[in-house]
Amino acid sequence: MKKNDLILMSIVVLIGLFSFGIVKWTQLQSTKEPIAQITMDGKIIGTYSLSENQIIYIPSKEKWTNQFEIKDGVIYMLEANCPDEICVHHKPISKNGETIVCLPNKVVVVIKNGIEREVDGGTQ
Amino acid sequence: MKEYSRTKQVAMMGMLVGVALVLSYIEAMIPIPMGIPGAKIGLANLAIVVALYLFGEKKAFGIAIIRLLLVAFTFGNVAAFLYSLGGMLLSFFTMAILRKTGKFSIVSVSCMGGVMHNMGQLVMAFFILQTQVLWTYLPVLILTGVISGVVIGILGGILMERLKGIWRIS
Repeated sequence: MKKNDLILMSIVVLIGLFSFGIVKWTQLQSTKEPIAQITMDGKIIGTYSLSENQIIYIPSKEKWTNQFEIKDGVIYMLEANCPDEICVHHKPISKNGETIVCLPNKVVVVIKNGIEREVDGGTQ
Repeated sequence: MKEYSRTKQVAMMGMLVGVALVLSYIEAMIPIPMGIPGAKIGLANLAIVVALYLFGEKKAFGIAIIRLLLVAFTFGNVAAFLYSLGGMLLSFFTMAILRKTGKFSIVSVSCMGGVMHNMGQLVMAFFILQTQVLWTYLPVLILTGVISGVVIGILGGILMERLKGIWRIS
């Protein structure tokens, strides 16, 4: 082991530890509670905390078009007046970036500030 | 370094390709308990490092490419091949350049190879999966790369010592 080796390796280890610090720090910054943002036709209808159990109606000319339910930290579509009801069959969402879309009514709900989704790829 | 006859070189390189393939296979069988995709021991790097020191860049690069293709065709898959390709290219060129400078021992050459292999995979995965989340793996990948690279480097050093007697490397 020469002197150069020690210098090179300590630099690399320091970079590793430094980036570890940055990652931890950014994670601490983003530990806000998850919210669900609902938009209709591109306009924001409202944002709702996932920690509060409630039922949200999306109003329209008729009574409502969609009903969301927030329960135990997840949000899902309870009912919708669209013909296919794909959104109703969508699984409950709670993680950052997950969405439920109701195309016929142009209603989109997206989760923000939640915990990150798990990795969906791997290698060996 | 003493020049070998062509036949002897071909035989030795073939052996190294075989060793690299077997090491890759053994590594694929070891379940990695860290739960971090991309973090690997890099056993096959042992053969590549030794080849780099025995035969120089060009031939070692050939061995690395052949090993990569063989792994992809036998027990790998397309996605894994792309990740490995990114890792291998970055790792190999880093090691070749570091060795060329002549300022570093085999241990740090291998160490940087380990780190850069993980980096290359990460960059490749970033392009394929397009998720920012991957960067949170960076520190873990650097540190595991250092550890595995150093271990492989020490092993490579010992191996070179032993091979000197058998292959008469000056």
